[in-house]
Amino acid sequence: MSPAELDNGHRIVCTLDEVLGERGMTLIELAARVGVTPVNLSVLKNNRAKAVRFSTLTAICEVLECDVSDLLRLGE
Amino acid sequence: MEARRSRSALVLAQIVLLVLCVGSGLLFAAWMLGYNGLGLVSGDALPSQLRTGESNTVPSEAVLAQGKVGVATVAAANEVTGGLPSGAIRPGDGSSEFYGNQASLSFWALTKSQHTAWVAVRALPALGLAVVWWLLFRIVRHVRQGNGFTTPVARRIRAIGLLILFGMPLLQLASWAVVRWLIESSSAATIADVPPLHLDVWPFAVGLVIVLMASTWREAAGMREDLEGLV
Repeated sequence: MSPAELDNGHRIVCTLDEVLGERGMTLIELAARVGVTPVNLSVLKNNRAKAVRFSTLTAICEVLECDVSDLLRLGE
Repeated sequence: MEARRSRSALVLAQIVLLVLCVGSGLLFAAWMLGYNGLGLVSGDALPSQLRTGESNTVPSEAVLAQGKVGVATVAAANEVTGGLPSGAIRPGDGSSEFYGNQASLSFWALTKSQHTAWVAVRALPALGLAVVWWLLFRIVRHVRQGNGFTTPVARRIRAIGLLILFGMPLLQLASWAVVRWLIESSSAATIADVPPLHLDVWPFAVGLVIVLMASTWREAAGMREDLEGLV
């Protein structure tokens, strides 16, 4: 478990980085298509987010054509 | 334009608070170092704003003269002024009458500990005020930096509230106890008494409101921290 996960008091790990790599898409491009600031997406990608809006998750999944489980998993 | 004006107002508030903090600190220092404190600074050397009457004269307290002494004092005073006229009193005729048995008692031979206690209960409010001004100064600085709704600010507001809530009543109680101690150990103990303890209600009310506000502020700070991590 990373220190960031411990600090936030949860074990949710965001795998957005891997999904973006698979799709060959940059964070800036995703941010523009989802309608969220790159800073906020960076917070999500680097596991510094404490909460995610359902609307943000829906938009990311639609753009990346993936499921929520592809973006988030429960860490050990 | 509006933001700049607001920023200027905060800078001005900071300057005023700093001046008040330094002023209160100097007043405290004047008490502690002056004639009735450690005696290191002569009253004449202090600026008039810091030279309060009590800090540079023989310690004295308002007391109640008991029994015949009190009655005789008031009677003597009324005899000199003529007291109330025997006839009807008309508005504007200047009729007045001495009432009660309050007198001022000077203590010329206090021990070191008594002197320290007497000075302490007078100097501590200035120190408390300096602390309050300093905490407010730090709060305004946080607000200027855009960190108004944070836990440290909530903590400082709570400290101000607790200082007023408990500090003022404790100070009034301590002042009363010191006066009682001084009277009981003086030659006037048999004919003088300490006035009844008077606890103001406003420190309880103001302190409680500020402490409750601090609790709300802490909740808001927590909500802000949560929102900062919301994507």
